[in-house]
Amino acid sequence: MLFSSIPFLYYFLPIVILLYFVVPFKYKNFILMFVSLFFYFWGESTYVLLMIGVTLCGYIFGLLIDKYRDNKKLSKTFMLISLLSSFSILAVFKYADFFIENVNAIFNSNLKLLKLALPIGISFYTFQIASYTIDLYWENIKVQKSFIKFMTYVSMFPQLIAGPIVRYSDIEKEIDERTIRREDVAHGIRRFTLGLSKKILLANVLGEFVDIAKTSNEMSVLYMWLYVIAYALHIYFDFSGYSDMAIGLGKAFGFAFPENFNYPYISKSITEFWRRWHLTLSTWFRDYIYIPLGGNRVSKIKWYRNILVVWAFTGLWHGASWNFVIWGLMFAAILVLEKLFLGKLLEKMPQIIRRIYTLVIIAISWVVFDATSFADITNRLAVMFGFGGVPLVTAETLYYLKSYLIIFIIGIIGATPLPSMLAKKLSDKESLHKLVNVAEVIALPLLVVVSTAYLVDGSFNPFLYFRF
Amino acid sequence: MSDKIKDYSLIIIFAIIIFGTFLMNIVVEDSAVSKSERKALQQFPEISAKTIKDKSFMTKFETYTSDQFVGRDAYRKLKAFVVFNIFRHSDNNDIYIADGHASKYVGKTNENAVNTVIKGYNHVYDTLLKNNDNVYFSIIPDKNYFIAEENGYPSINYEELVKEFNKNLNSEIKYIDLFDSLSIDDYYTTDIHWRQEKINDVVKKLAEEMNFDTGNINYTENVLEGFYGVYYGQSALPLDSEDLIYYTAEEFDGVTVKVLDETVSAQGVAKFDKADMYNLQKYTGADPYDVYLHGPKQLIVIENKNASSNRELVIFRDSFTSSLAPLLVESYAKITLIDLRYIANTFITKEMVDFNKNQDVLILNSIDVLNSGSIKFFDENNMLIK
Repeated sequence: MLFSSIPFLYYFLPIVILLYFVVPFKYKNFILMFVSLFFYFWGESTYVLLMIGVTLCGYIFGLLIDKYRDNKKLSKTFMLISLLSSFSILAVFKYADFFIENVNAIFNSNLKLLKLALPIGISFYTFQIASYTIDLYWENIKVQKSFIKFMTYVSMFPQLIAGPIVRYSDIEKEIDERTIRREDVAHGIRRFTLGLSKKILLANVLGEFVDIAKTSNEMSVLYMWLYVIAYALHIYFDFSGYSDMAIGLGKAFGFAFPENFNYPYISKSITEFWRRWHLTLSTWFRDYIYIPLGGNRVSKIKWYRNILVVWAFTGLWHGASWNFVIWGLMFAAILVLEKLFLGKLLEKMPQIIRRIYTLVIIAISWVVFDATSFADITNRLAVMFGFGGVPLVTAETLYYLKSYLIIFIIGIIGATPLPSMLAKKLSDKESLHKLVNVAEVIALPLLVVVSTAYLVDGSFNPFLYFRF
Repeated sequence: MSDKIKDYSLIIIFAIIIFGTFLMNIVVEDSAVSKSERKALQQFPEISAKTIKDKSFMTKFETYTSDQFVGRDAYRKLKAFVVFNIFRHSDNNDIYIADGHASKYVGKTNENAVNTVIKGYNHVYDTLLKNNDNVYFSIIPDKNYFIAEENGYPSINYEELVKEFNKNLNSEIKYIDLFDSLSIDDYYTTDIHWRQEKINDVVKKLAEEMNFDTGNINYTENVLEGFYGVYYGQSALPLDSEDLIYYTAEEFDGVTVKVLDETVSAQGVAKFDKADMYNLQKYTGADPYDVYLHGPKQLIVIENKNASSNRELVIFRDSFTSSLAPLLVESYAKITLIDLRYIANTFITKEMVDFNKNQDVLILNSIDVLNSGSIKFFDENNMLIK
């Protein structure tokens, strides 16, 4: 069930709100766990038991790590078994066929593919459980002795299937004791509504164009650039919109989930981009892989190795396919170059050059990310940079440009902090503050109604990060 | 408005929207069909262990909640309004409005589809029509031909398309150009089809080229009010309704219409059911245009014992011919209409259609059908021609 769907908005959500806010506090976690399992069951009825099983393993090993804390060796063994078990399951479901395909290709063998369906959100909940296990071993957090509370943490529906990757430390206090304040509920509604609108009114519309571009025979240089820009905006509004909805729902239910995006397309380098894009994933890799490997406080060779490992994993996390590995390694190479000399060189350049450099690399990266073959990557890049033997522009390209121009403009402006800065500036003026409040009370419900209209009429509503 | 009042207002309004819609959706009775969209609406799906396991319950429930959403038509209109007027999108669900007409955006020729149609009709010619001396081919232009370019919408290169057919279709098949016999006013504003009362020039052109007598019939205009075409529902825009006019005449008294029984045609059985020329019950159905010759049918035979000649005509056709055929019954004693979208060319038996050299044969399809790949052709081995 997607947040941006009628069953969620107008059936699931009212029932959940009613149950959650009516029951006394001591039952709230149970209600949240129960509805979250139902939410997961709705989309993944077969694998709900798998998720419960993986969570149970994480919970039991957590108890054992805590119980044998004084015996460092035993405690470490439990931590490793816990990680090994949960990551093995992830590996089997997500990477087994990729591995078999490559073995078959290299050794000309004919091993049978497992063809297992990928359980929704498995990458997200595996990483959450792993963060709990490691943090517990490192004594950054206290053990959770209640299975219901632990299950609630892992399965909590706002962040279950698409993040942000919430660490146990993020909600450790709130899982035991939380207050639900009026301003938090209102803030949650505001955040959820903006996320919903980003997803439905921008991401889905841009996604329609991306689909048209990929399936049509139309080809021109401008058309390819429109496709790349549309894809870049689509994936940003899709994912950040979903994160906004998750954070908003969390806030309304009394939890403060971590931020996941911070206007990544205004970055002036790729290093900065990764400090603004999918923050909970990049910080997860930083804290649990890069730093334990030694980070940059090691020899240069080891430092290169650390970067390579982290970015190969980052690529593979997004999907079991070589294009994702290339995508990850491409960023590894650029980050190394930026750290070696490019970063300093860029700092001497005008801001506009730095932004263009970053955006062009991001554009290329999305071509790699969205490709289904190497030929796709080379063909699209060739067309983008004028080597595809296609016209610069065609009548059909101009038609699509005209048709989607307003959406592109809104999307580009919306991907910068300008709208929120403007809203803040107006709101900060005492004379306008009340007026801004009135505008907000009118605009937000209007956005819900218009988004609903799109949902009622439309069928295009996939979610990109659903199966990562 | 203070921050506190703003917060409470937001919470209350959001609660009203979410809970109000939830309750309304439960209380308001479900509808069976959406007339504006011309579709049957999903009913509450069956819940069972099987439907939950195979997820069909969930999938159908999602469709159900959208189909039965309270105020669905109003929401669809709101979306169309936002799409056209706020986001200035050129079309909504691929439908655009120009010169008062709703039309479906088709940016360019679907070359694969066109090549398949050419190969397919050449195969039909070789296997069924080789003995016929008078085989004709014609194309019915879509509305885009008249309105797209001047309103800034890319469209098919019609000249190239016609050239392509003339170049590659069997040279024994004679082309009849209908493009000049039509104008945008000959089509319904909210529908894909031409108007029966506006296609006299088409009939005249066919008569000239195929050398038949159009007769001298005094048609009676019968008016059905409140016609909304297929694009009305798809665009969800507040377009005006029109009158659907169908012609009758005294000369129709000697006409019999027989429709192939589709339940047994796949077994090669040529069983026909008698029917009327017009089916007025269809006017209140999903597609009011089905008034003409009952809508989509595999094969229809129209015989007129009072026709001005004893000539026979076979038309390979689509829905446009449903309104054209009644205007030809005076000229031909027997007209056979074959829609290859619904019956495979390899399934046509001698009992269904007895092709012979004295017949006129007209291959008459609209651009929409030719360009969409909706006709499937099969070779001698029943393999799909690609």
